[in-house]
Amino acid sequence: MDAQLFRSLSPRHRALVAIAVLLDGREASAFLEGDAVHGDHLRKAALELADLEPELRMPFVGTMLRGALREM
Amino acid sequence: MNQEGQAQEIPLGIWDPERFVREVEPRAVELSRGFLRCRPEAWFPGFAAQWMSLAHSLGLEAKLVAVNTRLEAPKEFEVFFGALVDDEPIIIQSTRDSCQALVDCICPSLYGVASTVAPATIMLEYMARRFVASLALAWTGPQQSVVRFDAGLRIEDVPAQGAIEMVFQLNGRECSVWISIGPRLVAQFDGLWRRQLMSTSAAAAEPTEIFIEAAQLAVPPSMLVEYTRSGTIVDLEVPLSDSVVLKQGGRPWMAAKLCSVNGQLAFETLAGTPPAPALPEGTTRLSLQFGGLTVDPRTIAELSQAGAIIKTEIELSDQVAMVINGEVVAEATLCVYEGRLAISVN
Repeated sequence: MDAQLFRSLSPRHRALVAIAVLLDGREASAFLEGDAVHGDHLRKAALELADLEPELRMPFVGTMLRGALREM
Repeated sequence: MNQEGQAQEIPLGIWDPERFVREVEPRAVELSRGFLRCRPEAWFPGFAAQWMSLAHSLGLEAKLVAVNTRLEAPKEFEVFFGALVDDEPIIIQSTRDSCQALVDCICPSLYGVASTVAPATIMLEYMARRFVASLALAWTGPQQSVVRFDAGLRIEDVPAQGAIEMVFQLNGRECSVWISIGPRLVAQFDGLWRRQLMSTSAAAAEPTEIFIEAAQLAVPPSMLVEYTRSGTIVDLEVPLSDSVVLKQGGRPWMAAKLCSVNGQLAFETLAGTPPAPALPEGTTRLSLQFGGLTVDPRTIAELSQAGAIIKTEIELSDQVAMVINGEVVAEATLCVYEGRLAISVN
């Protein structure tokens, strides 16, 4: 569970992707890929998180979100 | 009715068209039969479905209450997000209260949404991205567009030519989102609506004449000469207003309001069918008209929408024609008499 793509994002984008996945799960990728500059990165990072085992995903993404917010 | 000799005793006022007729900007006229009448939600039929699963999982009751098109968005917004539609910038904007209502529904513990509180700001940004993506996914118009969220856009980057207001109810709280759009999108919506209107209307194939009637009188034939004699003053017994009746083929077709565009007479159609009062037996209909215009079938279909405006070639003035059976029998000047419309025959 290294989530490399996700971790390579800026803190703001990590928080954004984490919130997106918490709210929409896998569908979040479709809503994030429309970014004019970072669409592909955001989509892949969202899919990376969404593909985690369901029982791990929520606590992991929650932790990642708190971490990103602390860094902002 | 008074004859000229008595006219001096009657306190007649001038009917000043610039005072009684509303001035309308040419852009409002241009878009009044398309963009400003269109129902954009009809082109995004799957929009609500895009939000159903999220609303369900959050236990959120969400309802789209109204969608309105406007010439411009108000200047009162505090929260903005930018996007590009085929490289033309648009701005999604809302008030702090509306954003707070949204955040309260998703995560009530996030307080102070539009302040610098990071989680709420980021959640709103995601909602804006979701909103933009939902619109793009739900679009069923004739040509597909490339829609991208652009976090770097500023409000001054958008050459706004129109705006769309979407009013929602979220758990019973009303909130609204405004989308300011540029000239290309305005023209696209305008053209699309007008084409749809033409294709679904049963308009006549030939151009039609429309006359703008200020009032009508029922005159006994024996008194017609007196009514049309120069200097005659007639109290029309109609309250002062900018209301007129549009007549087509001699019959009332639509109610309308007068307006003016750069000194030319125009009118805005109103909802509902105008009354067609029956004349007392043995009287002749004397119609007081500002004039008429010939319109093509497409324009007839467009004018059938309440709120449509068309500019005529008639100069804005207080002059009306007195018409019997389609024939002009005299000219008159509109006047004001005790708060009512009157005419003084020229």
